[in-house]
Amino acid sequence: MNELDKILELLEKDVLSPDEQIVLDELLSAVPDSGKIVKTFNSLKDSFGKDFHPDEVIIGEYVLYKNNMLDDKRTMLLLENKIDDHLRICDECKKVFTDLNLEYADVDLFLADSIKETKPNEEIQNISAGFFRKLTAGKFAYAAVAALVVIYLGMFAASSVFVPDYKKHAISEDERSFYNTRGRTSELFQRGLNAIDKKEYNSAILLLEEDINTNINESSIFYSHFILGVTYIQSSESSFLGTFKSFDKEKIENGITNLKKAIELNSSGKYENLNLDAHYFAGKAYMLIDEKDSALEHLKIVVSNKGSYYKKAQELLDKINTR
Amino acid sequence: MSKYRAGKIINKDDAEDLTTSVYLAFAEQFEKIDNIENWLRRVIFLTFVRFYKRNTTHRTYELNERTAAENTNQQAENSFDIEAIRKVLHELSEEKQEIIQLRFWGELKFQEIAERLNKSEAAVKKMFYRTVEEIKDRLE
Repeated sequence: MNELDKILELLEKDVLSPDEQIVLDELLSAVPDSGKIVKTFNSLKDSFGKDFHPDEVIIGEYVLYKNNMLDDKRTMLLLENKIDDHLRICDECKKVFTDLNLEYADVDLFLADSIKETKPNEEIQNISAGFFRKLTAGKFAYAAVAALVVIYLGMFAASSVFVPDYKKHAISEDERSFYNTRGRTSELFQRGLNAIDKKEYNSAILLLEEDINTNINESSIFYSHFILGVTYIQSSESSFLGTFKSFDKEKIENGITNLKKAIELNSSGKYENLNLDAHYFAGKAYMLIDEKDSALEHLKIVVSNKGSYYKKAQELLDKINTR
Repeated sequence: MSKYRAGKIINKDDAEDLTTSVYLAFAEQFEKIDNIENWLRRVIFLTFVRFYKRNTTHRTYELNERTAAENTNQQAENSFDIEAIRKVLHELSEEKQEIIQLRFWGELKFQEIAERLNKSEAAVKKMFYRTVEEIKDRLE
């Protein structure tokens, strides 16, 4: 370590012991270039304190972190609060964050599409490989396949009997016209709908959230909350080989929060049907997480005001009342 | 990558450069990749972020009027002009910029920076000292 390094090491310390101070003073008087190194160090410190904007790579990693796509989160865990605080007060960096977040949504959509395009070939390869393996494995392979079919059919039958109808799909086929309500024309909203068309729910959520963050004061923003709410509910569904559906509670709760926000913001009275639909989906979402009292409140509103999902709401109410 | 960027990047060479960067990253890291789909998401996105960084105004040394005024008033003998410092910073290699940014702005410890960069703490410290000295030389 040379003498300039020693000076920098001491400058780095917040508090110096008396001995360290003596060493620093001695170095400063003995080393010819020491004044300039102190000046540079202090200027650097000032430069990062005053209106410094984190660079694009840090903001880009923050976007990945927020989308749960960062492999090594250690640095971001340390910087998260600092970046959050900065984005709250800096419009320039907020714009960079918005641009990069949209870019990430595009990458996500593009890859999802490309991978779908290549999957049929992979499947053909897998089927062919499986066929040849079966030829060589003979009877054991047939026995294993037969056992799997029996197990699967057993699970399917059990799932059909024990899982109530309303838990078989977060959003059923006949409810999927929910997003035909194209009452907003913003680009982000339309891209969100396109992503839903492709069943890219995570991308749709990103785009709709961005629409809400960017256009928070627009009068028609309640449509985005409505679609976002239903999309969260739709994306909460997962299953084991199509049997025994389960629902991600956090996503369901995000969905309900957005549906309630849509109802709160859609207060002009002109689009009452949309509010009734929001009540229906909120009621159904509460049923999925077994909060029947809350479901009851929303479903009753749909039935008493004859919303478009009146019959389905009544069926759900009957199920609650018979238990 | 070319297909993806074709509609967005006007200059074909830029699109090809970005594609090459992704191939190179793959060549360097393919042994460590667990999930190729997520790896591609990260690499394509971060490759674009670096392109975006190179092609946008450098916010890091854009001073607002208030700061500029403060800076002029406080222009003392014991500090360099902040704008000059930030311009010099931007001329450094990405790794050096990162170390300086994480140490001064992020207030990370050398050990934390070392873990991020897959280097030893001693190596990061040394690089930090060399970088401060390099900035001093460039400012002169």
